[in-house]
Amino acid sequence: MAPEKSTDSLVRERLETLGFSLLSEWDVLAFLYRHGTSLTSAAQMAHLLGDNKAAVGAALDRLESLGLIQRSRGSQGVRLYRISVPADPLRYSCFIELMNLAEKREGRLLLLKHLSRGSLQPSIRARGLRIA
Amino acid sequence: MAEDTVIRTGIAGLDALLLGGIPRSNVILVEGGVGTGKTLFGVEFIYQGITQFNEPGIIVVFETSPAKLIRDAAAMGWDLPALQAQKKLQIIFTSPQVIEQELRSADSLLLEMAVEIGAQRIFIDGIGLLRQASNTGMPAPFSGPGSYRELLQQLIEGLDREHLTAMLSHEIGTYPEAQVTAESAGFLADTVFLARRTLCNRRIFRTIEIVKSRGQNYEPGEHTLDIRDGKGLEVFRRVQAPFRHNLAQPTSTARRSFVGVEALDQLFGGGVFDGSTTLVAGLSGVGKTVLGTQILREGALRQGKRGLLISLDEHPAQIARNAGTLGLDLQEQIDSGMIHVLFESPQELNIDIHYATIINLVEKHDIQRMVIDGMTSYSNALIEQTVYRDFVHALVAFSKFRLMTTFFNYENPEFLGLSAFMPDFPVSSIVDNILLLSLVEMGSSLRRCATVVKARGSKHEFDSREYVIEQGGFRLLPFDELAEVKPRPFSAYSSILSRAPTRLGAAGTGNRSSRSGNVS
Repeated sequence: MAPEKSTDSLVRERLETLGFSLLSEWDVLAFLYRHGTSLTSAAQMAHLLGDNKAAVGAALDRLESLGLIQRSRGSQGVRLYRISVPADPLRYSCFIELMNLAEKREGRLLLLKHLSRGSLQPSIRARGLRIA
Repeated sequence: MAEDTVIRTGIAGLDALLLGGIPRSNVILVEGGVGTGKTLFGVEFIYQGITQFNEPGIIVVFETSPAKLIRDAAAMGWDLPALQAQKKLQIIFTSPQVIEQELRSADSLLLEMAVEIGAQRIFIDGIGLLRQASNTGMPAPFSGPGSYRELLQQLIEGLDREHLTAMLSHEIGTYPEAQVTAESAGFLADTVFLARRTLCNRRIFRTIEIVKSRGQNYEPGEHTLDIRDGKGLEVFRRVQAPFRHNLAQPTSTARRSFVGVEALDQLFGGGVFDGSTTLVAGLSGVGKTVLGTQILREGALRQGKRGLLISLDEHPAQIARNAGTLGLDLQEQIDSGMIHVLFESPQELNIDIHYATIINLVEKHDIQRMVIDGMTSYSNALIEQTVYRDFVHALVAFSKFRLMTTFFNYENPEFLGLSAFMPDFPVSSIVDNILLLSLVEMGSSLRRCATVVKARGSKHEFDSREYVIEQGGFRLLPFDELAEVKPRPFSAYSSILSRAPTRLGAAGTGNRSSRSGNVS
């Protein structure tokens, strides 16, 4: 099997293990991974990501339900968002592998291939993936 | 000030300038332009608070990526992720708008987190960005600097309410709005540091000034701020007179031999006092460095005094080699720890750091004799005469405080004769003794001439004496050694130092007893 194909299947498997499929979900996760604890609102995050508020809000809901992020209570329209590194060893290793993979352009392109754009317009470049 | 009423920054050298620390409730502002080290300053304040004083802290960033902050901190040897894992540190990425509303809110998430980790310190990086939050698009006083000041007041109020000692960084730009907002922050803060980055002769100097600090005394002026890879920041007090509590100056009546040459000691009226300072001035090639080597060897070998040679011109290996060719084994004394050598290139000299290095070496090794080989190099490196004077004054004061005997070698630029001891940066008035080493043209040969022109507290001699540099080093020729041969001794001439030696008649060789100087 060619190395590219192996990585391709690896990415698909890791995404399935973690349980998300939308590009906006990855973007939000990558944003919080890079920024650490963030005191912000979904609208501000959407502004920084170049996405729309509804998509980011939905991504936050989904990531929280998957146990990948934590949200504090709301105050003045903002929350504290933190990455929640999976406690399960398999999910943890998937999480770390994907984050490392996204450090390289080839890895980001693979992620882009496997993630659905959802509401995101094709013309909008996902910042989390840094396609440009 | 009582220990618990002050907060120590933990930044090396800074707390000493703050005479212990900053009053605990003070709001601290660090102002500066791009690249002055503001962010690093704030991060170290938090890091040292946690690691040295067990005071958890929060870092709030608006523009800086936390990942880069962590990376840059790691380069300083600070493991921020480990502190986050221990729940002693929280780095929060947010926006000015959010922080503005957060600190006004009774149920602030930020302050809730501060309580959660027991935070006692907070650093907010880039407080000037709050002016975005104050820009409501409405006319004054609802927007602009006025409302920015109100916003800052609210922020300070909120931090104070939670008993957080806050350090805020504020960039100083060249555009008017930035200057106005920085001014507002400066008025409201209790302690203000001004960080500067100056380009001078293609070199970069970073400095920090304590502009104000309410409720305490501190060391004013512009001090060097050094960023050291793997270690963090260090502040070096600007070179000046010693700290106020060190003003007492001991004196000694003990005299020591200069280089173990009795005739030279006689010129000084019986050696030099412990704790005295001596300027050895002369043209390049007259033997100043050799004499410096002998001074240190005499101290180490015969007087049991540890010595320090500071060289800005010659590498220590070269000095040791040259001394060796004259039979003066310097390396042996270096190896035994009796003589220490500090070599620094004048091109990269930062005088505050250099001075601190000297102080540390002297104190660490209990140095009692010091030779500075190359005062001219300092004058070339420092450019500003005031800084040079401050350095020499500080060094002289420090030497005297420790009763350390110090010798300054100075290369006089004038070839034959001289019009001033130190024509470029005159500091000869502050030393106790001056030994002038000259070249004298006699017929077709150049000969070396030593003259003691100043020896405070001593009845020194004013005779100009010929000397040679030979195996064993500096040797002063006896008055009459060459009386029967040509060329004649210096005592046969007048105007030796005036560029025009004039031969006296036969009677001119006598009458030495009338040439002793007064006690000066």
